[in-house]
Amino acid sequence: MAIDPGNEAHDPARWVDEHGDALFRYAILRVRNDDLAADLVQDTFLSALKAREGFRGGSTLRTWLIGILKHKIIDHYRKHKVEVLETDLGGPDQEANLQHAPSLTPAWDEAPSSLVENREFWGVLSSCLAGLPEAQRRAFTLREFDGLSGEEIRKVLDVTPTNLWVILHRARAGLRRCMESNWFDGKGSNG
Amino acid sequence: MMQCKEIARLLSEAQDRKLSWRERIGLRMHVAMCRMCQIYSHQLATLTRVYRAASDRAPECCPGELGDSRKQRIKDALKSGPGDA
Repeated sequence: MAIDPGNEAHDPARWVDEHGDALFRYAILRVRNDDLAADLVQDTFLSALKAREGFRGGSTLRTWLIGILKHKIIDHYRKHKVEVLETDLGGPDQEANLQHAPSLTPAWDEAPSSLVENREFWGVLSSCLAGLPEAQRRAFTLREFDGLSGEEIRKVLDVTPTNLWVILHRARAGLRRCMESNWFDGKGSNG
Repeated sequence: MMQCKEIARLLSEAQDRKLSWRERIGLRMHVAMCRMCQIYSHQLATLTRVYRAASDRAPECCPGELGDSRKQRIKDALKSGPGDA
C-alpha cells in the first residue's frame, strides 16, 4: 500500500476518511461500546493533530495513529476502573464451567487464522469476547491483543498478581466454552 | 496427582507466568495421561491463535464502521483545533 505520509500528514480531514474505520474497529473490539469507541477515535485524531510534528514517517501513519489509540484505551481503563466481581475470581458457576467436558471436533484442529475473515465466524468470535465480564475482557485483550506483561496489566487494572491470573484463566475458559458451543461443535462435521 | 480443575488453571497461567518446576512436572505428568486435558490444552492454543489473528486483522478486514455523521463530527472537531484533548 503506497501511502505518502508526507502529504497525508498535512491533511487531518483525510486522516478521518482513510483511517477512521480502521481505528474504530480496533477500538470496538476492545471496548464494545460504539459511542465510547468513537470518542476514543476522536481523541486519538485530536492528539495526533497536536503531535503531528512528531510524526516522521518512520512507520505508516496508520501504525502511528493506532499506537496513540492504544494508549487512549489504556488511559480510559485507568480512569474508569472496573470492579473485580466475585464471578471473575471463582463463584458458583466456576465448577460448572470447568466440568463442561471439552470435545475435540475436527474444527478445532483445522481452524486457520484466516478463519477470522469469515463473517459468520467473526460474529461469533466478537460476540463471545463482548459477552465476557468487563474485567475479564480488559485483562484478556491487554494480554493477547496488546501483548502487555502481567505486571503492566496489573498496574492498569489495579489487581494483585494472583487475581490477574485467575481473571485471565476465567476469561479463556469462558471464551473456550462460548466458541465451542457457538462455533466449533458441529462445524467440523457439517462444514 | 493434580486434578483437571487445577490443570486447566495451570494451562492458562503457563501463558502468563513462569510455572514452578513442581507445577511444570505435575502438569506434564497429568496431561500425558489425561485425554480431556490434552484436548483442553489444544483448544486454548487454538483460541489464542484465532483471537490474536482477529486482533491483527480487525482494522483492515472486519465489520464495523464509524459512519458518516461521526466522521463529520470528528472532522469538525479537528478543524476547530486540538483544544485541550
